[in-house]
Amino acid sequence: MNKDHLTTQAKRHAKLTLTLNISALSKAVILLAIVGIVLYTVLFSTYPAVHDFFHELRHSLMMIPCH
Amino acid sequence: MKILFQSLLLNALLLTAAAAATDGLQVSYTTEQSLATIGPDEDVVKMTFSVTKDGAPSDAQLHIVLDSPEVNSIISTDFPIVEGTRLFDARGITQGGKLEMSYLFPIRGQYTMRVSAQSLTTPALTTAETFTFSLNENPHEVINFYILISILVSIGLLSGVILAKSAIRQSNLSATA
Ligand SMILES: [Zn+2]
Repeated sequence: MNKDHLTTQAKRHAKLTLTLNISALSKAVILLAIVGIVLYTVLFSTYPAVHDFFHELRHSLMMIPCH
Repeated sequence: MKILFQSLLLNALLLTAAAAATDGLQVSYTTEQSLATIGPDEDVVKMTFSVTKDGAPSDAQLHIVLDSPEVNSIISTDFPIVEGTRLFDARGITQGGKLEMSYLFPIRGQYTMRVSAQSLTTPALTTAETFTFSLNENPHEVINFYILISILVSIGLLSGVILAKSAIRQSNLSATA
């Protein structure tokens, strides 16, 4: 029962993805946004939990300013 | 040839320094390791300050002030808050004409160190010297920086290729439809 439900969901998602039509421009914008957010978070975010985790990495990259 | 010229120049400088060092109160410093090869924020540097009076070791009170490299508005170091600040302002008395200190320099760049000395035996005799020296970036960090740049470039190239391929497929589909 539960398994059937999952399969139905998966099929629906696959169908949706296959028929999804996004223009190249939108794809580029989405990609740039994701890359930008990830890079900002890893290299520049001052949010303490993130900063503390990536602190040493940032300091080892020569010109990424950290604290 | 260039190296030969540089060593000649260095010798000339050292000779003039030696000639000047025999008069009055003189203060100088040496480092255990060459400052050109140490890595900032990694190698602790042992510095020895020496005072001579008329060419012979003599005791003095030293006042040492160390300023960090100036802020570069284009390229930051990994530790920007320390740029353009006073790192060290301390007094000490030499023993046998020498004073040792160990220091961990935090960043690359040109440091300014001002050393003033007042002779203990002749308090009227003072001198002050301003030394500047440059530290290179830690070689490990330079390598990491190039690794970061190559990762970024490969991500860019890869996404460009994927996006271009899907755009071509898209335009082929709409052409056949
Ligand atoms: Zn930090």
